[in-house]
Order: sequence, then structure tokens, then C-alpha cells
Amino acid sequence: MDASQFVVQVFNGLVIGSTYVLVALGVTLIYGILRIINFAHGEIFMLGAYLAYFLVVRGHLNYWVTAGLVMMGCAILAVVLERVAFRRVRGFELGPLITSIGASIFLQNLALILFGGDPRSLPTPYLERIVHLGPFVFSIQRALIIPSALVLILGLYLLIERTTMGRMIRAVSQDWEVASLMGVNPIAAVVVTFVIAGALVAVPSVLVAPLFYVFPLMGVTTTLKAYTIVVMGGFGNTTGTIMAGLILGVAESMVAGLGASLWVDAVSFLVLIAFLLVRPYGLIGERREENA
Amino acid sequence: MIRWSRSNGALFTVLALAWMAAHGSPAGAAGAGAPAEVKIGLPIPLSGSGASIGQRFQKAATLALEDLNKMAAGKMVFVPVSADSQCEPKGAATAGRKLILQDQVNVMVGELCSSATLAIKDLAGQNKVPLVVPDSSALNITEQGNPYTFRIIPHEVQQHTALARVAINYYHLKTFVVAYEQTDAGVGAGKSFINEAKRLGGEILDEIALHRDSPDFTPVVTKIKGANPAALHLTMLLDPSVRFLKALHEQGVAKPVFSSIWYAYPLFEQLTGPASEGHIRQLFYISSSKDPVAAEFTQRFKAKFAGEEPDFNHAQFYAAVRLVGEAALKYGPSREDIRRGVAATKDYQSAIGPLTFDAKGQVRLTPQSIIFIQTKGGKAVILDDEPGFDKKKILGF
Repeated sequence: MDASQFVVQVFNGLVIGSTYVLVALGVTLIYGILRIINFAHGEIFMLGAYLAYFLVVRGHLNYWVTAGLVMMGCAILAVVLERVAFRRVRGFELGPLITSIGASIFLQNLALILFGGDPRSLPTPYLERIVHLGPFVFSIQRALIIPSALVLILGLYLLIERTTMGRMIRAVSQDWEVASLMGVNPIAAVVVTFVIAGALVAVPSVLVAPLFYVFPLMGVTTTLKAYTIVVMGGFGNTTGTIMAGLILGVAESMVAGLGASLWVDAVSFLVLIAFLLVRPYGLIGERREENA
Repeated sequence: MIRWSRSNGALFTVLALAWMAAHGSPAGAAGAGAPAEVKIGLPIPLSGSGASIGQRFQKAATLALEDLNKMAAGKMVFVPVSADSQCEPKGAATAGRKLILQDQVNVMVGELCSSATLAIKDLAGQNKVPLVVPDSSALNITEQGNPYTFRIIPHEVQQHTALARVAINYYHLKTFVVAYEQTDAGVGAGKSFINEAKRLGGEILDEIALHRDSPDFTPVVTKIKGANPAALHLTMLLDPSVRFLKALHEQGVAKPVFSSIWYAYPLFEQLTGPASEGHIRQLFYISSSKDPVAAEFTQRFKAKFAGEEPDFNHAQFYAAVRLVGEAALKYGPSREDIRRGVAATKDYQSAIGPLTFDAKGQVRLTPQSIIFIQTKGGKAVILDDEPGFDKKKILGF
């Protein structure tokens, strides 16, 4: 691999990593507040892509209007999921985990029945606009992923750190009972978190689907990587998740670029195991001592 | 203690009647004068990455069974029994075991993925249940010789040897990158192409094994771009291939791509868009074919499914189900009768060409079995119809 190929592979990795980050942020936010891993998060990603497909292809809507509507649709879906699959089982040790797996399988099969197994292509005006920039060749569609991720990450940071709503979420995340004693409505915090997670995952749905295609299992692989990133970054730690996502994306791109494409997943999970051995509390997380 | 009340008794009776209605009489225990029931087991992928093709198989089976039941005219009743074999060995073995031991099927038609078919094949042989394979290409499905396994399409060596001959003898291309998914069928296809291309004087610049679940092939494509081949040979399932070709197009790699039978027309073109331009592949059926048997199938399929255009998956599965059904009608409904009937098949006229099996249960390859197409302007151009495309001379058989 020469120097220019190396730089191109880093760019490719940042694009893949940004997609992972956008999916993983929702997973880590929900874990941060509810201490559950939402295995159905990938299915919101998938249903968002189907919604985008129907709005663009059948509804003939503008791509950006579609993106806004898909964000709203995914946010609503995430809230419904919280209400149906998580609220009643909160507090049971394995209950939410099992219901999230059940919801994931249910939604995959529902999509298979409703939309059929045939993949569908989501058209956009940006896929055929190819930019040649030195050694870099990419479509505008692909190039949109990195700035979109940056804008959303910044927006999320401001929302969590600088707003009353964000303080409410952080308070519930730190201690549910104390936060409620201080007048915070924890249920409202949970609902807002699911709204944010749903809206966030809608963005890769709309951006990535045109590069590939839309099909019922499209959420499975992406979310598997998202869980890896969440563990590497530290459960509930958004900064760690962002860093881990980009590191994993670049590592995968390098491995594939060296011709060892089959080793991509093995390397991802080797990195994960290494993190679990060396920094089990995450990339920039802090060691948590259990109370006696 | 449970007390037996009148309402319990009524409930038991209703449940018993419902169970009997649902299950009917056991296979092969039809009463005197009742038509013999022939259960056709369909181990097909109904979930996972092959689900879309599994759904196609179901449609084709519906049409084939409708035709068979008409042909049987009340003497036999053909009943489909589906099981989700998931396009992978473990799921396929479970589905096969269920169909053979629990459902007691007379014959099986399936699977799609070679690894899954290999898992069912031995099970079928051990239990003496004929298995007709409509769509798996790995050589060892028939190469080992199993009297109960029959394949109706050319195997991977036949397919990819033919493709290499077209690439070199017709297009005069010399340097290739060969990329394939790391599965029985993928590896077999890639190696077959490489062997024949080398034999004909071609050069393989790179050989890349791929993971079909990879979310993005751009890094691999960047590597291929660096190798600068004259053409590519690609073997992967439809879904990942679409991602791969879109990445090639986006990276500006406008080289001819040769693939085998795995991409339906026109779905592949619709999904891949401009990235499919110039793509060359072989099929065993295309809906625009002028062959009378193929044309009749196309017309009947469209009439049955509201104008839907059939593709090779439909045609191959339809041909396989019709073949086993007609063998049952001619030779008898038992497993051994059907096996004998299928083995004796000679020049059976199907939508995918004439079918005759060799001693290993492999369909005999003829130039008529293979159609070569190239995508131009989003449409399939049949190379066989092009002036200068002398198929017999190019293929050498």
C-alpha cells in the first residue's frame, strides 16, 4: 500500500466509522440512562431506510424533506418501542435485554412479510455526482456522511451538556431515584432519550441506504459493530463511542485494503477483546468501583 | 385435582377434531380410492440473506404444483411442505431432518446455497429420499456421486470455465482480479475461473476472498483499483454484489465485470443502477428468451402473478418441481419410484433448456443450457444474438 492509498483508506475508514458512530450513539445513550442494551436499535435503522424508500420512490418527496420526516418517524418508532418493549420490564435483570432481542426479531420478520425479501434501491441526486480530488474519488452521497456525523455529534453534545433537558437526562443517568427525588421526571427523560436515539439512527438510514440498498436484515451487521463500539468506548460514554467508532472504521479499512478482507471481523473482535482485557471500562471511561 | 366435566369433554372433542383436520391422515395411508398424496419437501431459505430468493422459489413452486395437480387429474395430489433452511448448513440440516423424518416427504427440491445443499444431500442419501437441486453450483454436490441427488444446472467448473472462455476468446481480455465470497460456491467459482483463464494464457493480478456481510467494500475496491486489471471476475450473492459494484462505480473503476448466474434480470440492474453497465453474466433462463418452452413459462407466470416478470430463480425452481412431479406421475409416488423417474430423465424440455442427467446426477451441459448477457443502458443484451458471437466456437463444446 503506497502513501496515497494509505490516505484514501483512512478516508474510507472515517466514512465507515462515522456510520458506526451514528448508530452506536443511540445505543450508548439508551444504555446510559436505562442500563439496557437495545438490540432492536438496528431495526429502527432498517425501518427508517424503508420509510425513506417509500417517501422518495412512492411519495416523490425531496431527499432532504424525506430525511426530516424519517428522523421524526424513527423518533416515534423508538418511543413506541420503549413503551411496548421496555417500560413494563424495567427493573427486571434480564427482562429488557430479552424483550429487545424479541422486538428485533419481530421487526425483522415484520419487514420481511410487509415488504418482501427483495432488496430495494433508494435513489438520491448525490450518488452519481463523483468528486475527483487528488487520490480521492468519492460520491457526494458518501462525502455527506462525515459532515453529517460531525453536525449531529456537536448538536448532541450541546443538547446533553448545555440544555435543561440534557441535564435532566444526565441526572437520571447518574441516579434514577435521586433525580426523581429532586423533581426530575425520569419517564420524560427516558422518552426524550429514545426520541434522540431514534432521530440519530435515522440519519445513517437515509445517508447509507442509497450507497447500498434497503432490505429487512440491513440493521443486523451495522448494529453488531455498534455494540462492539459501545463496549470499546465505554458503556454510556458518548465521547468514547465516537473515538472507538472512528478507530474501528479505520482499522477495518486498513485490513481490507491490505487484501485481508476476510479478517475484518476477526480484527474488529480482536480489538474488542484487547479492550476488554486492558481497559474493560472503555476507551476513556473511568473505573467504576462497586459499592459494598 | 382436575375434574372431568362435560365442558372438558366438549373441549377435548373440539381439539381432537381440530388436530385431525389440521394433520389429516398420515402420509401414504390414503384410504381406498383416495388419490395418493405426494409430499414435495421444499428446504428453502425463508429468513436470512437468501430469503428474497426463497420467496421466489415459493412462487415458482405454487405455479408448478398447480400444473402438476391438473396433470394428475385426481390420481395423485401434490402437496408442498416448506421448511426454512436459512441458506446455511445448520439451518439446512435441521430443515432437511424435519422434512424427511417428521413430515415424511416423498422427495425434496432445494436448497439455494451450496453449503446448505451439501448439508441436506447426505441426509437425503442416508434416508433414500431423492433431492433435486435447482440452484446450487458447488462441484462436490454431484461429483461424489450420490444416487439420490440430482442437479438441474451446470456446476461451478462448467459455469466459470465457460465464462473464462468468453472473457478471453470473445473479449480478448488478459489480466483479471478475481474476487469471491468465502463459501463453498464462491471459492469453487473463483478457482474454476482462475484455472481456465490461466490455461488460456490470462494473468491473475489478484485473488481476493470476501466476506459477504461486509458493510462496505470501498477499501477492497481501492486495492483493486491499484492493481488496474483489464476485467474482474466476481462471485457473491446478489445483495453484497450490489454493494460491491456500487463501490466500483463510485471509485471510477469502469472495467468489465464477469459473474455467474447469481443475479436475476432485471432486479440486478434496477438495484445496481448505472453501476451495472457493461456487466457480463451467464443465465440459464431469461424472460425475453424466444425458446418456446421458456416463453410459455414466462407467459404463464405473468398470468398467475399479476404481470410479474419471472427470473431464473423462478424458472429453475419451477423446472425442478415439475420434473419430480412428472417423475412421480410416470413412475409412481414412492421415494424410490421418483428417484428412478428422475434418473431416467432424458431430454426433458424445460424453461432452462433440455435436461438429461449423467451417472452422477449432474445435468449434461450443452451450449443451449447457457445464455450470456451483457447489461447495456440498463437492459440485458443477449450475446448469443449478437453477430460474431459463435457460442460453440467460443466455448469449445
